[in-house]
Amino acid sequence: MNTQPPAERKTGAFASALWIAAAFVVFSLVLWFVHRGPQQEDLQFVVRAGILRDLVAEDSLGRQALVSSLVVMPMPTLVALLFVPFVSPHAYGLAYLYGLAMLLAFGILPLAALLRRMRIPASRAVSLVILSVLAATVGATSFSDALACIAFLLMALALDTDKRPMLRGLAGACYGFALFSHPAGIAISLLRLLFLARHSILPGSSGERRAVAWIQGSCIVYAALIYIFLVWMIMGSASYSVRQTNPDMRILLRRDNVQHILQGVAAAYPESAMVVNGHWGYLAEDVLNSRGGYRFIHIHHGNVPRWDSRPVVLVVPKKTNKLSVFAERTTPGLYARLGYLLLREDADFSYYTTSREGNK
Amino acid sequence: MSRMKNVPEWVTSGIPDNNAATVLSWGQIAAFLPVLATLVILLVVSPLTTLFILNLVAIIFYLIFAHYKLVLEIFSAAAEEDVVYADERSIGRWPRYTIMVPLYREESAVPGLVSHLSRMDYPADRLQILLLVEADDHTTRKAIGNLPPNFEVVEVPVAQPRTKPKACNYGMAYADGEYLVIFDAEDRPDTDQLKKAVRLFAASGDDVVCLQARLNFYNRNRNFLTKLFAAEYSAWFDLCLPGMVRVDAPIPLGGTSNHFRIEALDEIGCWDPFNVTEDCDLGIRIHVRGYRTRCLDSTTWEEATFRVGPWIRQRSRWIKGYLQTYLVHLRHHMLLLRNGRLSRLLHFHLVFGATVFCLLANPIYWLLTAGWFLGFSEFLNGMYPLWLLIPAMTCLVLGNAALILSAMLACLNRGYYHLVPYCLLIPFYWILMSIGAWKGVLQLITRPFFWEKTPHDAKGKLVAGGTVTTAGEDPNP
Repeated sequence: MNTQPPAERKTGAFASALWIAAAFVVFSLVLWFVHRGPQQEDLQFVVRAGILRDLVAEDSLGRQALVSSLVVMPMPTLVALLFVPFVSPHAYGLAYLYGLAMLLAFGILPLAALLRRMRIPASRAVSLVILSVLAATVGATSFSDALACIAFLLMALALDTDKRPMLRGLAGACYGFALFSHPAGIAISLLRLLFLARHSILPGSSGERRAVAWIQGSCIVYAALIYIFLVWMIMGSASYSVRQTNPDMRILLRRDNVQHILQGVAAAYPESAMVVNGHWGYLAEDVLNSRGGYRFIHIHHGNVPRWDSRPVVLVVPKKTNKLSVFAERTTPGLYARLGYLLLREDADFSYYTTSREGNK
Repeated sequence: MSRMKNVPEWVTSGIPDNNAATVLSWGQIAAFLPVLATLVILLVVSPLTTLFILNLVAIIFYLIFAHYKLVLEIFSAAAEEDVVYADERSIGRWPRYTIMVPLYREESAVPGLVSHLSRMDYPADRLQILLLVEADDHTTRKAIGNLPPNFEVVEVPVAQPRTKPKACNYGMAYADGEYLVIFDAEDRPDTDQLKKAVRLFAASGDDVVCLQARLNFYNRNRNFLTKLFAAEYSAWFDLCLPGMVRVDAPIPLGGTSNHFRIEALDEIGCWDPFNVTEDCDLGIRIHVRGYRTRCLDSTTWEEATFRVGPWIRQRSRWIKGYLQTYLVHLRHHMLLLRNGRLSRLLHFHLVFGATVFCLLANPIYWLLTAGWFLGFSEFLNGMYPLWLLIPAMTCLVLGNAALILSAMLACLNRGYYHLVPYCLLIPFYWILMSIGAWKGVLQLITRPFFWEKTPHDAKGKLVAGGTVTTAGEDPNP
C-alpha cells in the first residue's frame, strides 16, 4: 500500500531528474578530460566521429561503417546523433562522448537501486563516483563504447532483480539495447537468452516466470534480428559483420601513434593515391585527406574514381598489427582476384598496387 | 420506488447543441474544401515534392504519437500509486445507485445478466436496475420474464436514431439514484464494483463526476481474435487510461461501466443520441465543463466479439464514432483550453485525431514497406533522405516493438501469462483494426448514424472469484 503522499513523490521524481542531469554534466566533463587533445583520442572516438561525419554528409560509407563489424556496434553512434546538432562538424567526437555520458547518466539510478538493495548508504552519490571512475578508466581506452553497454546492462540488472514482474519484463528491452551497443552486450544477451530458454522449459516454472522469460527473450531476439536485417540491407550479406570481426582484444594504439605511422607510409609513396579499406580509414582520414587518398569500408572493383590517373597503393594492416581489428577481413587471394598486386610488406602493413585498368 | 422526473423532450431536447447530428458543419466544409483542393493541385503540379512533404508530416506525426503513448504508459505506472479509496466504514448509509442496461435484441444475454446483477454486492433496497428495452423488441421483452423487485423494465419508444445513447437519455427520466452506471447486456462487473465506486467518489473532490472501470473479457481464450482483443484492452485500460487521467487528458469513456454523479450528468446534457460512440463524446464534454474522470480499480468482464466479421463491424463503429466525436468537438475545440492549458488541446488531438490517422495511414506504410522489398527501393529511397530515414526507421523498428512490448507487459500485469506469446502476432490484429477504421470512415459518409449492432452470445455463468465461464471455458487460465 502506498503511504507516500503525491507531493512527496513529485519531489522524488524531480530530485531523480536533477541527479540524472548532474550526472550527465559530470560524465561529459570526465570523458572530455580523458579525450582532451588529439593525442588523447582513443580509436573508437575517432572512428565514431568519422562515422557521424559520413552520416551527416549522407555518404553511404557512414551507413556501411555502422553495421560492418561487431567491433563497431551501432548504438553509441545512433545515440550520438542526438547531439550532432549541438556541436560543430569538427567536433563530432564530442557528440559521441555526450551520447556515452547520457547513457551513463541514465544508468545512475539503476545502479543506485542495486546499491540500496545491498544496503550501501548514499547510493546515488556512490553511483556517481563509481560511474565517473568507470568513465575515466574505460573511457580512456579503445573500448570506450563499452560504457554504453555497461549503462544498458545496469538498467537491465536493476529491472531484472525487481519484485514487480512488469519491470522484470521490461529488462528485456535493456538487454536488447545492450546487444546493439558492444560485442560484450551480444555475448551477455545471448547468454541470457539461453538461460531464459532453459527457464521456459523447466518443469515447475511458474506461469509468471515463463511469461517474463518470453518477454525478455522476445526483446533479445528482436534486437538480434533487427541488427542482422540492417547488416543484410546495407552490406548485402547478413553475416558480413560477424565475418569482419577480428576478435583481437589487445588494447589498441591511440590516435597519435596511428597518425605517425601513416605519415611514414604516405611519405614512401608520394605520387600515389593511397587507399585503405575498413574502419581504420577513419583513423587515416587526416593523412588521406592531405594526400588525396580514399577510404572504403568494403574493397571492390571501382572503388577509386576513374578520373584519378595516379597509381593506387592499397595499404592493409597485417594480422599482427593492432590496427587489423579495425581493418576489413578478407579471404585469401581476394586482392589478387580484384587485380591488386603485392608491392611489398613490412612488419605492420602490406602494400598493394593495381593497374588503372584494374580499377575500371 | 421509481419516480418520474420531468421527461426531457423526446430525443433532441436536452442534448448538447454541438452534437453529431451534423457530421460536418458549414464552417468545417469551408475550411476543408480549400485544403483538399490545394492538395490535389499540388499533387498534379509537383507530385514528388508534395508526396515527400506529406510523408515528412506523417513521420513527424508518428514520432510524436509514439512518444505520447510512451509518456502515458510511464504516467500510468505512477498513477497506480495515487488511488485512494474512502474507508467503507466512513460511508454510513449507502447512497441510492441506478444501474441502466440498454437492451436491443439481447434475448440470449438477458437471463445471465439478470442473474449476475441480482448478485451485486450492494444493498438491494438502495439499488435500482433499469432495463431499457425498445418498444418493438418483443423477443427481448419476452426473455426477461420475472424480475427481482429492484428491477424495472423501461420501454423506450421507437424513434430514430436507433442508438444506445438515445435509449439511455430516455431512461434518465426514470433514474432516481444519486449515482448511475451503464452496463451492457453481456457485462459481468465485479460484484463489489458499486461499493468501490461509492468509496472512490467519496474520496474524490466534487469535480470528479465520472469513474471508468476497467474492461476485459471473460471469453478471452476462445480464439486468436479474442486473445489479442484481451491484450489490447489490457494495454488500454491498465497501461494507458490511468496515465491519461494523471495528465488531465480528456478521457474517451469505455461505453460501459461508466459511473456518474447523476446531478452532474444532467447538467452536462447526458448523451448525444447521434454519436455512435456516445461514451467518447461524453468524456470530452465532462472535460470541457471542468469536471474530471478517474479510473476505478474494478473490472467489468465482457464478451469479446470472436468472429472476424462482427469484430470489424464493431471496430468500424468505434472509429466512426471517434471521428464523429473529433469533428464535433473540433468545431469548438478552443473550449478545451480550459484555464489556458494548451496541453489539454494537444491531448484531444493526439487521443482522437492521431488514433484515427494512424489506423488509416498504417496500411499505406505497410504497402510502402512491402514495395521496398519487392524492388521499388530506388523510388522509395528518394522519398527518404538519411535525415528522414533514421526517424522513420526508428518509428518502424522501435515504435512497433514498443506497442507489442506494451501488450505483452499488459498481459503479464493482468496475469494472462499464456497470452504473452500471442502478442507477437499483434501486427495481424492491427491489419484488422485498419480495415475496421477504413470501413468506419466510409460509413461516416454513407450512413453516419447507423449503429453496427454487435451480436452477443453471453450465456456465461458466474463462478467463484467474479469470473465467468461458458461451456468449455477455463475461468482461470
